[in-house]
Amino acid sequence: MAHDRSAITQEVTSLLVAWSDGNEDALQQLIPLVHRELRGLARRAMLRERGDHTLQPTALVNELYLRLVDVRQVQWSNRAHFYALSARLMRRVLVDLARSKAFLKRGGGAQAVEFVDDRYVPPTRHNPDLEQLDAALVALETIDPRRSQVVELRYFGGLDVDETAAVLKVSRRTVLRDWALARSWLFRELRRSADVDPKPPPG
Amino acid sequence: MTEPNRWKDISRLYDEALRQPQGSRSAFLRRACGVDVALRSEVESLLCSDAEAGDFMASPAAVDLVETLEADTVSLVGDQLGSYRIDALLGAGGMGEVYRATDTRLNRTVALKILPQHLREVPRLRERFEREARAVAALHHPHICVLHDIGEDDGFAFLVMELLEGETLAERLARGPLEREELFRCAIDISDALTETHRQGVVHGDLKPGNVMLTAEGAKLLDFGLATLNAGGMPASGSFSGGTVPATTSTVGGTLAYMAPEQLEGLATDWRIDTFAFGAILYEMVTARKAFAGRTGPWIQGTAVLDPPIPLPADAPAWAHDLTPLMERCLAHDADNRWTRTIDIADELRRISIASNQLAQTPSQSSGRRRSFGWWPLAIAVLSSVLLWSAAGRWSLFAPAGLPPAADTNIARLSLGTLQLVTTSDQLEVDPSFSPDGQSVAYAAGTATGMRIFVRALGEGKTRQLTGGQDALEFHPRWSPDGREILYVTPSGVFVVPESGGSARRVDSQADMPGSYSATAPSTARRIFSSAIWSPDGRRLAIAYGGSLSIVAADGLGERRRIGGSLFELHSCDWSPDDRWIACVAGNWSSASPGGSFGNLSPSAVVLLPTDGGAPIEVIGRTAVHRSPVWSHDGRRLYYVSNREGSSDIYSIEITDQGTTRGDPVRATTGLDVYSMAFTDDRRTLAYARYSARANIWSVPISSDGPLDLSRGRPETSGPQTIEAMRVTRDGRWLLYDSNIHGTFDIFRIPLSGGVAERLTDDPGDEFAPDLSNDGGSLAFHSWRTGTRDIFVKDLARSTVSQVTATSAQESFPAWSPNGDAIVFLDQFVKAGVGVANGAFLIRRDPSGVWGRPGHLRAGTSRVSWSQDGRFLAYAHRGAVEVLFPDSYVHRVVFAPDVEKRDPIAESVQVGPDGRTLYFKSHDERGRAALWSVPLQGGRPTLLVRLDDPGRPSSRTDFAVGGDRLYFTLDDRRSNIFITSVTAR
Repeated sequence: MAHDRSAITQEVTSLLVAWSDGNEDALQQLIPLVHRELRGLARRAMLRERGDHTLQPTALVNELYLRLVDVRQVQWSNRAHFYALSARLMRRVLVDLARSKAFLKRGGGAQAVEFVDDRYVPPTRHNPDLEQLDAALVALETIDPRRSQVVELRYFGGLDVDETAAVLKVSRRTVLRDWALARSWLFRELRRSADVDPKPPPG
Repeated sequence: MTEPNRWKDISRLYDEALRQPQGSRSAFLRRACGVDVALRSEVESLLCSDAEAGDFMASPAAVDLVETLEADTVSLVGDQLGSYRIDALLGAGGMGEVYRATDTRLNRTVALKILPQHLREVPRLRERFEREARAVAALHHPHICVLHDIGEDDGFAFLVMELLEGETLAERLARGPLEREELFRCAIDISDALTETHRQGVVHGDLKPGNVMLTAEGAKLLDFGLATLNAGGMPASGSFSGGTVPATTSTVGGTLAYMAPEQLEGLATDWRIDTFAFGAILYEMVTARKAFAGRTGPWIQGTAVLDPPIPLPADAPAWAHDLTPLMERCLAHDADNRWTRTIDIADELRRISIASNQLAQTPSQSSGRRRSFGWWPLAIAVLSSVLLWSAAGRWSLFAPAGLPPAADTNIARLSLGTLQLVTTSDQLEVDPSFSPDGQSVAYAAGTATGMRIFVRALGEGKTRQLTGGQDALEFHPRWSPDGREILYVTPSGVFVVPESGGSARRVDSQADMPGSYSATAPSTARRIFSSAIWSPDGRRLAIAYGGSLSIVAADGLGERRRIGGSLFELHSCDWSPDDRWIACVAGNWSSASPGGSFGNLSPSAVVLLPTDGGAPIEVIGRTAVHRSPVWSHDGRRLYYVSNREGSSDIYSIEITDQGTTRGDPVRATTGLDVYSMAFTDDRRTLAYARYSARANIWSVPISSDGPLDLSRGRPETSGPQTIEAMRVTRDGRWLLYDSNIHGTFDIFRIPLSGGVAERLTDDPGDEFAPDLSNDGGSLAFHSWRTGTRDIFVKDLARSTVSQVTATSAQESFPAWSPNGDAIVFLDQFVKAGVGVANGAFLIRRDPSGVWGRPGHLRAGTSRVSWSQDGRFLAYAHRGAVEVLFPDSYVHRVVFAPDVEKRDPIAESVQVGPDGRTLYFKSHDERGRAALWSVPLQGGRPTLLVRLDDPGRPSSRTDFAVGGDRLYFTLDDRRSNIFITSVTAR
């Protein structure tokens, strides 16, 4: 049984609808489907990395969202709700995935650093720990639910500024402003939590 | 948690501040917040975080997650390909991944092999693969693994095979030779399987112990024809009639040892390559050693091959000698002299099996036979010397008569003959490499910031310069196994130059490296080439770049295969003769390569990276400065340079088949002061660079404005020592420094008013980077005594030492706050999640003297310097001069270099005594140092002094300011190359 792309998309879509109707079992069925897609995506990203450098990861992720929740093709009565739902789903799945030790090899999201005779060269990218980011986002939600949702839609849901604005029924500018503050706040929270865990001093 | 109203204020002010021009934001906030300093600080900290966040959350979470994955972590387990449900990963390697899967139609368990991507992308190879797969599918034999199906789904091509339970012959051989019955059973099974294979017109093409599975039903052959495809070249002939194909070495480690001469020579091949490989396997089953482990010579396509004959070892069982004629005939150099029909091999094996079974009952007889049927009788009777294939393409008599090949191949201690000085200049000569014929030595010579490659013909005593850019920084020459070319590296590229001279061709450059820095990035991002070596067959190169090692084809084209993951800086690599391992030094790149901090004395480790891509194995811990690992002839021992007992000497350690060590390291020489070394191929002659280095402190007076006068400089310390870091106490009384004058690094101080040095620590570990509290009572430093860097504080009055940090990360370079209640230190720390938390951390101690938890100040900083009032810290950050206010986390850029203008790249910063001037030290891309000043309020830096005398460079980043003088180290380094004969002691 080869996997029919559109069949999967349909399956995901109907499960999302079921989930939005309060069926928690639907989520349990959704998560492995998204896992599978994401792993396939990661593989393709890495395979392509070797040969074709022009393919951007962003394009691959867009591909993922298209494959999974092709909301643009679906005439959905509450489209904004649907967007929000898929963003929440992606958040659940991605954080879950980042947490699973089997998925990430040593060091989790840690990157290699260059180390040159007592001088330190910082990594070029900050790849956040999704688990910690998720926790920080929960904290942000208690003081500023809207900004927290902007992050969920954009960062986890992969929506662009206009889509986010449409879902939240606010202006594009507000989305940009909310995003800037939320991002600074989250970055600071994550950095603060990056303290060294001292081991007990040796006996 | 923040109060809702408070948060409203914060977010409003944040938005408004962001709308202000960059320069007037803090003025705006001062106005808007009035006396509410906490509010202002909160908003400022968020603004600061915004500036620092960089590309944080710039791409969707899924991208971030995907980017953190490594290829082998993304398992297909749980997925379905075609009608196969994937249950578990059985193995992974260069040949792809093998999973246990369930055929959902037939409900049976199978093995599913995913094809490597590069096979799928070349249609020609793809077709070939499918054709061969069908041919193999037609083979039905109890000792051939059944190929059920081939398929493709969701972008993956795969083979579906019979799932075999058991171990491979290679795994079995790791435990030692096979017993007699076991051996005959296995050998007969394989020969039966080969008989059927050849009868069907199929050539296996990659017969080796790893492709023989030992199961309850006997031996089974696996992996037909795939290896030749995998090599990326033309597939070997799969037909009985035989086709003409160029020889290719498989990228799979160890295959070379089983390849027939005609394969290596690129001649026509047929089924008899399997016969040859079978002979090699048979030898290995008897001895648990590879028949041609010594195949490290000049095999490149189109050259003739003759393996030095290898006698059956003396401890081989008596019955094994009965196999000698059969093996000889399998291993005949000329295919026409091998067995013609595979079935005859199987028959002969059965015959010997029965005969030797009878002989085994009568030991006295068998020992008589051993003498009369010696293994390779020709080798013992005729060859009184070892024949080696020389670079010029002629046979040369090399070893003295009567000695077996590479007799010293696995000896712990070395006895040296008369030392012969090869070079005599007072500059640096390092990194010797012998030509394969042992007649010439290539080496790098010059200064730490300008090196070129030279070749010395030992017989004629003539030296010629092989390469020569004016500003070249070329090092680590390595002679190709065929003796025709010399490989070398520069920080930005890997080059090959003909042995005879001429123009060098670039085989690798930074532009080709993944994640390389752009030209506009500060040069502090030291991603550089540190080592490039030839594979034993000369067809591949291993290239160390930054912290990773990649294998590429010798022409630099084709796929780049990264092995070993990311490690500390890798350098000084050496490929094992059996092609299984690459030994490298990990850490302290600067100790081994010219440029900036040449000769740096931080500890480093020796690691083995499996060439098949497995996890690296640390064989020598990070306990001393290690350099120049070199394999013994048989790959069972590793020689390396270590200063663990003070002087830099050659040590050796035994390496098992699993890449682990056996026994303790043994010091092989005494008092040699070795920097780098090389052996001739036969390990009878050693070339080494004898090296001495000093780095002593000098000072110059700071003048009110303008350049400093270096001629007014004076030495502050002298003697045979290296000093890495220094500080002047704030009261201007003491110069503190670390020194290895007693062997390991300890902390010393010397009164600036004149006097003798006083030793403040005497721990056997290394102590570095002292800083004294303002009250003069507490000495902080970092020490390697725990195996990693940790911060310690010594109470000088009570002479007690307390450990401030105790992590597996690298806490280093402590700096006391002026009031003595905090230390800012550097760390390098990988934490799951936030990526890497590195840079400056602050740790406070409460009045009772208990240290709290460190807090992160800023990533990517250099060693910090406190202002006298403790309000701010100055440091270098990615080439820029910055200050940071630890109470608010706010930082400010004082000077950011413009790469276009070739501005100086700051590497360390000190706050001047006036509190308004910052001093910094820069190193250009060639490591030439200069000292600068820049006003705290910003502006262009003023050049104070260039420390660019190539004969006496200032390679270390650290410097100090105190009173009215600047303090820094100048290096005095020299080395020469010696050669000497080597024998076992």
